[in-house]
Amino acid sequence: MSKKILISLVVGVLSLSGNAQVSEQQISELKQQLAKADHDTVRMNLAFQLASGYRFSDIDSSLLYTDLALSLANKLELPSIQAQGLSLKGATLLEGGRLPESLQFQFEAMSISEKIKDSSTTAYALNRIGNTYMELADYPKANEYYFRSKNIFQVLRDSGMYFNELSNIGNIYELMNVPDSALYFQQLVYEASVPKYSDRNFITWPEMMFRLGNAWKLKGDKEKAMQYYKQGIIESTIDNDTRNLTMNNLFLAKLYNEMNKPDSSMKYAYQAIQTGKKVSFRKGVYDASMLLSELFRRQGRNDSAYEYLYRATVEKDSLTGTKRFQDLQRILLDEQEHQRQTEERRVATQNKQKQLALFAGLGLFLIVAAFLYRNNRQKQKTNKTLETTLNDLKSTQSQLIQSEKMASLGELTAGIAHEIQNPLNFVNNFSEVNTELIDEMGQELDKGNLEDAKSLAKNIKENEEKINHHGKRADSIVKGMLQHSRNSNGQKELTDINTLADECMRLSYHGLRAKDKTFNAKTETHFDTSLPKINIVSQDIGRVILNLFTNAFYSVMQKKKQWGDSFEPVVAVKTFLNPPPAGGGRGACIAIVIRDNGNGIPQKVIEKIFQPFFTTKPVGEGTGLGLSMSYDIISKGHGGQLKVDSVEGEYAEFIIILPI
Amino acid sequence: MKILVVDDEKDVQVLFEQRFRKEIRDKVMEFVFAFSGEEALSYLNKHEHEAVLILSDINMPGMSGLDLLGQIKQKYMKPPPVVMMITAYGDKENYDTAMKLGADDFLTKPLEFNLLKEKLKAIN
Repeated sequence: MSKKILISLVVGVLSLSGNAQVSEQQISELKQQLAKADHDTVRMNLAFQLASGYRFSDIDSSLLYTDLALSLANKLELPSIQAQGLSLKGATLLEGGRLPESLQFQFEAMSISEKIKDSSTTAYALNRIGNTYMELADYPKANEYYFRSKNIFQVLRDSGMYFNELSNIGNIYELMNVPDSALYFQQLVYEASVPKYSDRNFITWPEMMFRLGNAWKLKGDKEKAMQYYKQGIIESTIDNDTRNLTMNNLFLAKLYNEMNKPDSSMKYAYQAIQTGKKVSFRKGVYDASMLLSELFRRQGRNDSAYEYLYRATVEKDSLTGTKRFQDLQRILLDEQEHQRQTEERRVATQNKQKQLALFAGLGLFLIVAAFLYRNNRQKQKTNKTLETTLNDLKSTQSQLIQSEKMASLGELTAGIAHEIQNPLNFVNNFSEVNTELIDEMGQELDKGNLEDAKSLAKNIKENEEKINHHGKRADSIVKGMLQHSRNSNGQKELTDINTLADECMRLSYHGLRAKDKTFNAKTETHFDTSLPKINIVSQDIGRVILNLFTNAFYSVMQKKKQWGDSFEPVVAVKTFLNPPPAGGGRGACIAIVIRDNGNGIPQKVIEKIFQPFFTTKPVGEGTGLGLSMSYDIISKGHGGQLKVDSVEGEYAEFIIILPI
Repeated sequence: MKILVVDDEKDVQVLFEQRFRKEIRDKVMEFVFAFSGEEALSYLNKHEHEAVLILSDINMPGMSGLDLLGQIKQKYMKPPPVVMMITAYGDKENYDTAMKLGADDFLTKPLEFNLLKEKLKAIN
């Protein structure tokens, strides 16, 4: 599993902003997986899922798994996940009423997420800090954090969390007794959530219900408030959200109390205590216990009234015990101090940092400069030597490439010079014949033999065509030679591969023949005449084909020397369209196969033949650059492939594949 | 006189037929064409007892003119037919090899037909 997928998965888990929809069966499955998992990343992921699953039903288990996940994130060095985990832990602690620790973890999470610029986690931490301030009844501060969080979620286009913050802000206005603002924000959220009712992750419906209820109650519409609280109980059951079930029960109990319906009020207060205990929701249990105590007192049932007052005190003690208050005070003071300092330091530190950075940079620069200066003196010497060596190498390389070209050209020049005599033979003689024929035609015309004159004219015309044909042939031979010797201008042009291959084979054959009269080989051509013209640098491809032919002829020549008359050397060229894709995935291509029945290539050599300077020819006969240059031209220059197939002692086959 | 012309280039036939059109018309010369060394040998085998003069190219795919020359001069001992080599490769090495193998003459391309005619007349 890649880190990226893993992180997004964890983010997904942590993004469950308030819903707890993990069933007991799912939890036991997760536990089984965790027991089996041997990969830290997988274990961390499962631990987070379990922590999240337990968050609203069993805070202690949730904290246990959060700690496990956090230690794994720390071990795996995943700061982003660490920050998310710390914030989750803070949120869970808040659910358990452990406010000081909660704040501590949120600030810790924020310091990491701000450092790594993980604005999503920052936004969640801000949200949770707002929650804590709300619990502390510092409403302006709570809204300050909620607004900051809201703005980040808006930028992140997380509309679920954006509306969640709006709901929180509305809730704060309700707590500040501003009914219109409270209702305005809650209705905004409600209207946005209704179309997304089925998406339970979009908003925490049980919570939204009691908030709407609270807003209506503040407005003075108790009936509407009751409707929303009751709907809230239903939504809580749907989401298995025990905490918000407690809230809805509690608010309903309070509402009935205000409506002078003590029995109904008691019923819902009992339920609030029961459900609140299930998830260690101390604040809920405290409120419900106080309400019950008051209800019993009014009924004159002092024992029960005392009992619930006592229970409430216990809850309150653990919620806001003296020590906890001190802790909280310290943390809040620390944070305030921290924030003030941060503000003050923002300017000062920036300047200081700039200054420091400047000094440090300057210092470092001086050190580096001194170091470089020292090094430079040494390097200059080395560099000079290196430069000279490099230049030498470069010029040697270009000389080698040129000499490779000239070597193959040299082999050919003699052949070409002679080869030109063949078309010239026809040009000269046919034109002489035509002069004679024209004279004859004149004589026939004088005699009045029109038929004979006409037939002579026809001959003359045919001969003219031959003269033209062989003239062009001579031209193309010369051009071929010039092309070969010229540096390639790299210009691609539409080229007939068959013509090019044929030309190269002739050039190569006659070139070798010119050098070694005893040499002879049978040549075969199998051209696919349906080949389309393709865009290539024809000089370059021509050079490759020529080189392969020269090698082929060389190889059969060597074998002929060893075997004598019993061996008939054959060099064949074959072209065809769209060979079965080798290596797959390519479009149509043209293949040129050059095959000789010479000595073939030994297996131990075949892997090296495309390496520069590798040659099997005797010293002085080859530069060893031919095939490596060919390979570069085909693969780098034309996006094609140059492959070789050979059985030692039987044949060698070079296959050029060029994309169309 | 029957003359066997051996050359891998097909246009050679038209050229000879045109240049010797009068001789052919007057039935002074008769031309037969073979387009490879192998074809030439098989013709000679079939027409063993005909007196033939052979004009052969040297550079041909498969059996070369020099191979053909060697075979003819070895096989047709008494009297071996006249073999004239006609080649674009008129270098010394080629000439010496041809002569060593028993060529009766050595002409270079582009062919001077007037010169060839004179040589043929001399043989005739």
